[in-house]
Amino acid sequence: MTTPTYRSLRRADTKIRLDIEQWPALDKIFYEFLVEGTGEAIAGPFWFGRAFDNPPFFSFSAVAQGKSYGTPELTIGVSEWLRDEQDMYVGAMLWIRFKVCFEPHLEGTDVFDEGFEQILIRTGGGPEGDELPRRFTRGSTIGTQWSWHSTLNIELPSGDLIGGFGEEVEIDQYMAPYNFTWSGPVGVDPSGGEFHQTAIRVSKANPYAGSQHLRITALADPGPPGFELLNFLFAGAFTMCRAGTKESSLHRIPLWKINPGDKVTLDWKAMVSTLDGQDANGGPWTLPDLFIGGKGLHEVARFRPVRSSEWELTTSYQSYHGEVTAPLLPTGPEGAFYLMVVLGTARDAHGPNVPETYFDIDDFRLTISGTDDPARPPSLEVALNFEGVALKGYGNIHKLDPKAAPVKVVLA
Amino acid sequence: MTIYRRVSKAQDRSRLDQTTWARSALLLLSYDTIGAGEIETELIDFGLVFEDKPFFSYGVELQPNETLIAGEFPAVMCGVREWQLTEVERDDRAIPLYIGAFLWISISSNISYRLRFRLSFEGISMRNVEHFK
Repeated sequence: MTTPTYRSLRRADTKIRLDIEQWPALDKIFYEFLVEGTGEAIAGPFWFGRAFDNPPFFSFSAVAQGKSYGTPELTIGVSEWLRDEQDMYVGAMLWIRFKVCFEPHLEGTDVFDEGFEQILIRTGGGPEGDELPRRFTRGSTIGTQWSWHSTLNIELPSGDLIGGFGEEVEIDQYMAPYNFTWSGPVGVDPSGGEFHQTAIRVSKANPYAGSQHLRITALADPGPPGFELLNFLFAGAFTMCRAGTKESSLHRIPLWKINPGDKVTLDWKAMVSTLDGQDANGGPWTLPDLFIGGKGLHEVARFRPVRSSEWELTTSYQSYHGEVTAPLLPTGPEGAFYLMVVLGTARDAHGPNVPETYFDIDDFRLTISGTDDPARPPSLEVALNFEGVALKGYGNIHKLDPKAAPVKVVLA
Repeated sequence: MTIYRRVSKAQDRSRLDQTTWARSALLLLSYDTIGAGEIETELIDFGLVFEDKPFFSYGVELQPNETLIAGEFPAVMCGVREWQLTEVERDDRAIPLYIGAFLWISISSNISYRLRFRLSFEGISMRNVEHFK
């Protein structure tokens, strides 16, 4: 009789049917692999080692190895489901797209119209009639009031100097990057009161060449009890080693993402010219300067134009390129760097008849590369998750080894 | 004796309702798109009541018979723009419950791909909100 064989076959058949029909269960499968480079690639196949009756839910997570820079954009999607002859979902092909979007901190034609925070130095007017801060905008005119003895008015917020005389007060005040001497009367202006002259000592803390950090010490108490120092009004001679300045202003643009050691390049076009074709009365012009400054407004690295070491009067825009390496210097508690632009004119020529000047910067482009170079993006540890109802023990799925999945994907 | 046992069973059942009114729930949805750009979806009604913000994740796949173009792989992002809430009062406090979501989807590509977003919401779902009171 063949009954035993028949019964065995039936049992085996029953078991297969059980495998297919009675073992469905929620199941998950995970993969991990490394993604290197940026670009895109098709990755796979990722064999599940089991069969899902419907497309499994797919998700992923990624962890960057090392520092992240710029704005990473990672997309991983299923480009193709791999199906067997029974139309079961047994694997997947993926598309991977990884790009790091790096946006220069400054780029455009009119960045000078918007990016600057403040102008710290004012000129003209004297102690009682100083001008409003002049915002330097594209095409504006600077240096209209030439004065061999410039007036510098440093206005301090109320209360900053309260505390009595004899105390040294450090003013976070950037001066034009030239040595200077100071003389003349200095006034202390109480709120609503008369102008008192007093003596102060101005010293400089100058850890980096070319910058001045004022320290002001009030030496005597000139006022009545309860006198509050609200404003220091300087009416002294402000003498530049370059024989005078017409006007200086400082603009700071925070560059939060610069790290020490990064290479910073700056390309810009600029035109420095006189209005109405007036004679420039000699040159050369040496400002404006563009440089990287640290917290506290110390100059720490300067963009030195490659084309020319000095600015020249031109009638058209000239292209400039400079590059610096962000210094390995402590930059203050916040570690911030600033792009600093000092606008001004310092000339060898002296005299009251220097023509008005026109200064414009255009096509300003700042790029940063270095330790976080976008060309060297961080590697990504990617984890995949496929989840769905799987039919365990189905067919020959067990022969599909999940370990055969890619362990590294290099994008291009 | 019999009556006592029946009462006990009823109490047990009531207690069971109280204690099992919440359970883990996984809600899977799909959302098809064509083209590139940004959209905000209409309200996605869970049909469930989550006691807290459900964990949201998504995956994306090409729709059938769609082919990727080299150099133009799509970049996609998806997130929850706003949760749809309802509230229940409990101890004079309004307890928010999550019953739906509006999503935002962003697709960057020069190719008008047909994509299928598969959305997952997972959390503790309440079987009977009244028991929450």
